[in-house]
Parts: sequence; C-alpha cells; structure tokens
Amino acid sequence: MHIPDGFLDLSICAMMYLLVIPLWIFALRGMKRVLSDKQVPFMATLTAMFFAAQMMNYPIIGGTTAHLLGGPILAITLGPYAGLISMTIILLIQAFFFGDGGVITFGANAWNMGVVGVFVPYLMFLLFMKVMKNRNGMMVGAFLGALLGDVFAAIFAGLELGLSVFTFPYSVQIAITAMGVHHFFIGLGEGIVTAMIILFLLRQRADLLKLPRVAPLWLSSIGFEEL
Amino acid sequence: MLSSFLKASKEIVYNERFSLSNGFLQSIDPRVKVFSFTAFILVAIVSKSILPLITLVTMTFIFSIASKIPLRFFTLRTAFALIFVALIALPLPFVTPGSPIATIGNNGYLISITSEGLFKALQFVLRVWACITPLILLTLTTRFSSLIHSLERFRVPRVFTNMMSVTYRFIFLFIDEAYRMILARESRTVRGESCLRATKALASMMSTLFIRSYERGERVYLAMMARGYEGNIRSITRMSINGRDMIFGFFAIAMCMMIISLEYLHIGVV
Repeated sequence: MHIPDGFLDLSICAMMYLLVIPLWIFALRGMKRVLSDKQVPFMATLTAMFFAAQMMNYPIIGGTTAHLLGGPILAITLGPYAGLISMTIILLIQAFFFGDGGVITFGANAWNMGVVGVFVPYLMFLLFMKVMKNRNGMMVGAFLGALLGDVFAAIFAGLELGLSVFTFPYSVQIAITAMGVHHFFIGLGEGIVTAMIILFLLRQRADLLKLPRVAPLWLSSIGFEEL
Repeated sequence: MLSSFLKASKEIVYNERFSLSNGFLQSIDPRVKVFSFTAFILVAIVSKSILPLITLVTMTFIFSIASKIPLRFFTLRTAFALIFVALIALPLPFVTPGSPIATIGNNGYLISITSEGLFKALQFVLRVWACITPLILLTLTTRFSSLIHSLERFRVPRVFTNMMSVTYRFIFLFIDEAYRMILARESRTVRGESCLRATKALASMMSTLFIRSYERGERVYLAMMARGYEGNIRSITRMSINGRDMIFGFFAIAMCMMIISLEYLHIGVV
C-alpha cells in the first residue's frame, strides 16, 4: 500500500500533507500529555519491533502472502496518537532506507496507514468493547477493526491514485476496486492475526493491555474499564 | 519468509557500505542533497514528456557512477521497484483508445495496441523511475545519522528525529530476534502445516516479540536515564556548507529549471 513518488499528483500530495499535519501536531501534544519526553526510547523500541514484525508474512487466500501493517495492534495497545507517531516513524524509515514509499507522497502514505489504518481499528475496538463488554467483544472488535482499517486505508489509497488524473493512468473506479478487493483479503489475515495477538497477550501479560493510551481527550476516558 | 529478513539486512549493510566510501555525493552536505534531490523528484512529477524524464534518469545514473556505486547494483536496485510499476502499466497499450499499430486476434475479438497507449505506459514507467532513483541515490550516499541531523535542520520535530534514530538502532536487533524465532520454528516443522496453525504460530511469535520488546524498552529507557538522558539526543557532528556544496546546489536548481523549460516551452520533440 506504500505509494511511491510519481504515482500521485502534486495537488493531491499537498492536500494529504495538509490533512495529516494537524493530526501530527495533536498526536505530539497527546504524547507530551500522557508520556514524558524522556519515554521516547521506550516508544522507539516498540516501533522497531513493529518494523521487524512487518517482515513476517502470513498466508492469504490464493497461495500468496501478505504482511502485517501493525496499525491495529499499535492503536489497541498504545492508543491511536502513539500509533500514528509510530507508524510515521516506520514509514519514514521505509521511505528513506528501503525504497518503500516516497518523500512527496509521504503525507498520503501517513494518512492512509498512520491515520486511517490506526483510528478505524481503534474506534471499532472501542465500539465492540462498549457493546459486548467481554473478551469476545475484544476479539470481534480487534478482528473487524483490523479488517476495516485495512480496507478503508486501501480505499483512501485508491481514491488518491484515481484522483491523480495527471500522473496515474487509471480511473477512480478501477483504482478503488483493485485496492479495496486486494486489501480485503489482506485485511482478513491482519484481522485474524491481530485478534490472536490480543488473545495471547490477555493470557500471558494482560497488564500490557492496560498501558496508558495516547488518545484524543474525548476518547481517552471511555472504553477500557472492562478489561 | 526467512529470505525477506535476509534481504532487509543485506540492504541495510549495502546502504551503510556505500555511504562510507569517498565518492562525489558522499562529500556533499546532506542538507543540500535532501534539498536538491527533492527538487528533482518534484520536477519528475510534473514532467509530461519523455525527454525531461530521460534526462533526469541519466543524470542520477551519472551521479551514482561519480559516487562509486557499482552500475550493475544501482540498475538492479532501481529496476527491482520498476517490475511492480511495469505490471500496473502493462494493460495500458491495450485499453487506451487511439490509432492502432498492431492487432491481435480475429473476427470480432480484436485486441489492438495503440501508440497512445504505448506512450502512456512508457511515460508512467519512466516518471516513476525518475522519481525513485534520486531517493535511492540519496539513501545510498548518506549516512543515517547525518540524514537525521539534516531532517532536524529542516524543522522536523525533535520527537520524530529522536525516535527515528533510536528506532533505527533497534531494528537490527529485532530483525535478528524475529529471524532466530522463525528459523527455530521452521527447523522444528517437519511437514507442511495448515494455514490456521501457521497463522496461530505467527500470532504467538508476534506477541512474544511484543512482550520482549516492551521489557527491553523499559530496560533501555532506565539505562539511558541512568546515564543522564534528559529527553534530547545531542550530536557532535557539525555540518557546514562549503563552496562545493553551493555549486552542487546551484547546479541542481539550474538543472531543474532547464528541465521545466524543456517541458513547458516545448523545446523537446516528444
């Protein structure tokens, strides 16, 4: 889903930067509120772990493999703002050192995977925790959250690609369908793995699901009392 | 799965190896490099015709030779990303309406390749190529720490740059750790296993990795605090822009202006 430079129009790239910059500012403020500046190394090691985890492939239907985006599990364990910052770091390193993604398209990639891919799973997870109030709710929330997060992120990517009439040669419909269908299957895998990780963590170290979450103020007070 | 880990570590090793040699671009100030290479990418994005794009690609290849990066390696590295792009562009010659140059099939089921479509596909692949080569060249010729340092100078918030430098350090460790875990598991697995079991094993490995990295993160944080960490990473390298860097910067800007004028004054034929 990493969009390289040369795929998106300048206007689209600029717009995506404008969308994502305020969220970076809010997220940095949220980080300052919940974690101190000094806890940066702690967040950084977790980010490095997710970077390595992105290299583990899981099989999806049709004999192909896909890898985790990591957004959902980051959002659930650390909160969406921390998840956004972590994903941003991962994407920066990938863009600069692995040739995945680009500099000008960075805003778009950060929006798709860092904002949509993190906030959608988090909100779904909260919703199911509120409604079902038990472990099953967590599993369903984690699964659906990860699935929808992947699909929505892919749809946004397709939309950006399709709207780039100058650089991208296919229409919006084709781009969205191709990205959406492909990432539905990837999202199924991501959903199953995310739900399983939550289950394992609940069994082994339930305290790790009670870490302070860096979330918007209106969200941070709800949802996790039932754990 | 194992090969992806090996590929990743190999790539990083290559990155660091070339950035330490004494080629041309390695001696240019990283800030100037980031600025000029971003300008090249911007020019490539707005270019429509073939000539400016070819000029840009040729220029980056000349730079890579001047920076003592083996041509074969650089070509393979940039072309590898292009395979995916070429796959996307593949249907274009067939679906774009225009004047056909070749026709396949018979009565009623005709597929024709149009010259407009071929042009569109070529333009797309070339543009992406012209966009990714400068970025790859930048990372091959710049050390990670100086790149971070120059990002700091471009007013990227400190939290990002600090986190990035610590993250980068630990990536190798966790790649190693994940690699060992997977290697151990694969050597214990005799036969092909079901999809569900593989997924389950993956999830348990990931949660173990998560717990380990959480605990390591705590230890690292405490160790850094004990050594006087106060929320800021200081760098002892001082960057200075000298005449050579200025000349390179001016050359880059001139190059960009020239290519844009090629594009918009229709000096180029195609």
